[in-house]
Amino acid sequence: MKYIITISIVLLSLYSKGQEGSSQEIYGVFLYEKAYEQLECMLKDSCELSFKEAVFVVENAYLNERLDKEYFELQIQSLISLAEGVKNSRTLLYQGEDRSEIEKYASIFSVICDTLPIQSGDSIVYRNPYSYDFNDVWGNQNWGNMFVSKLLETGKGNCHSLPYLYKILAEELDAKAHLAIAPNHFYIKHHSKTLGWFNTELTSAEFPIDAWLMASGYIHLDAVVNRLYMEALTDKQAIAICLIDLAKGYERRYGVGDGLFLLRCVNTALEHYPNYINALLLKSEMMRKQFFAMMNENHAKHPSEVFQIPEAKLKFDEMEVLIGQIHTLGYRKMPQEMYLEWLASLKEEREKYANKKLSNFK
Amino acid sequence: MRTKNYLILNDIMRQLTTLLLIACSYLSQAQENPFEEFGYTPTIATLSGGKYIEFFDRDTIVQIGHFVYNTKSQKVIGFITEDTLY
Repeated sequence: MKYIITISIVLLSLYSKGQEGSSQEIYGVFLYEKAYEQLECMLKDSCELSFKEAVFVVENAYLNERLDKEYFELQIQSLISLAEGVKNSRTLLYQGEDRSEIEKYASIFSVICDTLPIQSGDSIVYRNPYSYDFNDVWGNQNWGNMFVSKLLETGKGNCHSLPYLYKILAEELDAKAHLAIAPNHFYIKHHSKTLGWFNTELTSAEFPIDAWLMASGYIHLDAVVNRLYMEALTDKQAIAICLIDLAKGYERRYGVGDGLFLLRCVNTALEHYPNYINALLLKSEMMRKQFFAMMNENHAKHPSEVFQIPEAKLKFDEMEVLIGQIHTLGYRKMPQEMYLEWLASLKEEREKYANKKLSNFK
Repeated sequence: MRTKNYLILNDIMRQLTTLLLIACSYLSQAQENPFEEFGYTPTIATLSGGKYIEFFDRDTIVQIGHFVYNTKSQKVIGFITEDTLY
């Protein structure tokens, strides 16, 4: 019944816009509505919260339901088996009382970042780690380059898909892994009873200290104070992040449209994660587009030319408040060149930033 | 009512602005002493030895998303038209 209502809303929306949406597009938009409902259901505690499921529905919506759920599940479960095998085959030097938990983290890290010898009959074969795909790191050419399914298929990922896969594997192993955000970047935060909080960086297969992330990552102190960056995110906040991924995929696939779907994603995400920077930026963008539409309607070339229209003036003032809020929270745009340099430095300057408290194996 | 003209940057203007911002960034990197104008050179702690920009808020005009924002007047003073949001 719920889906019938959703289909009706989608059809009505396309009809009211006067668009001759192809049946493919109608079905595609329906998939996005369905994905939104699944994520919202998790956020409202009406469904079981699953990061793996959330990532799957987001990617499957963008891929027009071409993602094979069983195959995706099989790929994840084979990595889980590998992680358990790694955990059972070695002994950690770490002796804290939460050792069994830390062993899970270490095994996931090895599955993603290490070359692993695997016994195959009488011989040993080596499984290569996942590597960083420096091609199209922001998914500008193909949004699918940000996906976990692409990482699983090609063995190459980025700072979006690698930490996502890590969190999925942790969830499957019943281990606690927190996503964390730095400018243009995601990584993992863990807590150990002996070491406290520590960072796990899948991009460089290292454990960088907070000071290095701040200095090299263009992180303003206000952004840390206001929990914009470097915060250990809750599972619900991780689902809110997936909602913005969903919105970005929709925008890539179908454009902004009337903006209602994107705004719904943004507003729901902000309800559960008020300082999520990518949601705030997307909201500002949606407001800008609405304001520009008002300018176009009135054939205005400059914003001030529509200020006599109360609705337009109100929209502009709301935008200005939001932009001020984003700046006050500590957001500072990181130059893309600086980010690429930073990625390179993660491999070149390990000695400077590695957390030396984190031990190796016997 | 505000009567000021707003900037809506086209491609060429955007490229010029980007060049200007990059130039400003390099200048900022070179000037790692924020107290220089007072003739005072303290020991400055830096983790990257000047490789990365560890000082913030030297520019009054900043870009946030597709907005150009004046941090002093706290006003939006222009828009940038490009596709990359973050």
